[in-house]
Amino acid sequence: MSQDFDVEHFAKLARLHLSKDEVPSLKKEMNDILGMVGEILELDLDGVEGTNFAVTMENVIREDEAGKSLPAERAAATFPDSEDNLNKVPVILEDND
Amino acid sequence: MSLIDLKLHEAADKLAAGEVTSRELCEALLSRVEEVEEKVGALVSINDEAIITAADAADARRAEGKALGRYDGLPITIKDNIVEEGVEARCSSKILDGLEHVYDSTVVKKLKDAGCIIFGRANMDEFAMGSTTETSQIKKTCNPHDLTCVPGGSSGGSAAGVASKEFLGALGSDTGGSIRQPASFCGIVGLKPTYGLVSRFGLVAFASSLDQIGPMSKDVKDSALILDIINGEDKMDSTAIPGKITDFEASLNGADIKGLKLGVPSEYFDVEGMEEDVKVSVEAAIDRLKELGAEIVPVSLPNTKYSIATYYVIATAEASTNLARFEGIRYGNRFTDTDPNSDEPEIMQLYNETRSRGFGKEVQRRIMLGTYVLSTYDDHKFYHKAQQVRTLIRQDFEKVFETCDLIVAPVSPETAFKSGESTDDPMKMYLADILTTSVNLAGICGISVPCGTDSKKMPVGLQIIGPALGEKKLLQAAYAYEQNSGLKLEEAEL
Repeated sequence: MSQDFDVEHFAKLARLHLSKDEVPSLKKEMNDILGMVGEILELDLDGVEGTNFAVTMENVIREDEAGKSLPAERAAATFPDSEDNLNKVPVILEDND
Repeated sequence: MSLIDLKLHEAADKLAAGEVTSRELCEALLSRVEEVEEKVGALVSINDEAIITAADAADARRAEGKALGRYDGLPITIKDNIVEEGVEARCSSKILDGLEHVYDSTVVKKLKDAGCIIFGRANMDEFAMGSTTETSQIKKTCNPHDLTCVPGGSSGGSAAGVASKEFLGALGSDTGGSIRQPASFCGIVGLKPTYGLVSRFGLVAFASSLDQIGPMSKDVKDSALILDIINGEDKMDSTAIPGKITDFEASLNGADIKGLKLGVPSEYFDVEGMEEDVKVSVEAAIDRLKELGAEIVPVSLPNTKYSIATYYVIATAEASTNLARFEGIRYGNRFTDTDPNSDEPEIMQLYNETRSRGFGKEVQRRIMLGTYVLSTYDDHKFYHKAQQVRTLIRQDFEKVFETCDLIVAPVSPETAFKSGESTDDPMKMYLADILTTSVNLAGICGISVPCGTDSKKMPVGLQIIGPALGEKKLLQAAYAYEQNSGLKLEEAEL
């Protein structure tokens, strides 16, 4: 596969921060992996239907019954940071946004 | 005979006969953990106090004649990606440090409802991504048969702990071979059930269309026993197959393989890196099956050669989506060392920091590959092609199962190798999955049963593959082989 894996671009999309040092080795590894998986691109598969799930899936519907939900304080306990059962996160929109 | 030598079914019989209490059983295992865990490293956590409390409760129920059934008081270990209420499930990753889960997974609920005691959490490759358990960010697990070797993965802790007798049986999860390959490497039995036979609710998702929870045990009967407990429909998992089967263990009585047609796929013996010792052991096992009355039929699974490429496209695509939820906002670890001088908004820095420091390198590689195949970069051509090849792989099996009952083959081209040999070369690790990934892509069932050792006395596994929901026949064939193989694996000396 001649194509070069754009490590920095896909790291950015995947929300990963890479140090400058790891880019060359990672690029090589990703190119190797792409080369390996690239063999399927050569196949002529016109007319072959794709498989999402190996077993036949049907939509499952149940009665709309009200049930107990998790108490807020228990759910909030799983947040990395919280205040009054609210998830505390960094500023997303500044005042002037 | 010490209590740690018991199989689960023997322990169940003894509990029922009043010959042993759950507390005695658990205490014996806890002493074993105390004795060998430092060498083996099978467990990421274990709560002795909670175990003894649960064991005493089971004993009290039994004493009052109110036992919850055959399994009441049996200790079973779970892999670190299976969620239990009030307990950390870290998937052997740093990104989930400190997250106490707020509900029981369906398998844990089923175990608890049956009276089983959750006996610790087993180490694994981080988020089940790996074949050696070396990508665990928590600890190293060693193969009890040779501590310098890997236990296989990703359910390496589950396999190593069963082999080292730290626990009687365990749950693993198998996305591309993660139950069968470590079972093979550690000389135990491991079953990957048909997709949907066991609920995935509360299994931290790696690749949702491939993941399946299954038993890992000392013998075939124990795998059947565990499967009896954990299978069944679940309103929390719409992919769980309707119904509940309760006689996998019972159906082993009088298991006979006379007249059973077993397909032998040539492609599974010709793969690159196939060790001669593995081939010899597996061929001898097939000869033994023939002596026992099975009919051996040469078959072909021509698309096996594409299984690794197909698997790594589909599994990483699903993984990059599933793991998007770990970003330091909703749960788990948050790394906040942001740089006020950076051009990037603080929230973006938080995402990047958390994911780069929380995930290990192998997980990062797979997320990036998955991001690539799902991006519009190549018009999704990788992903669509992989889905098409998945169809071909599925059809290969369907064709074979028109004439054969089961398929027999090796689990892995190699036996357990030295620690550190594959960590620097992800490709070597990926290619070794060639004999197991197809089963996941096709959604069918497969089991690994010990069938010999190589020249270094490391275990070799025989893989038996069955059609969707073919577990009974699969277990019966595995059981008949195990009972008549004449094989006695040397116990791991620790």
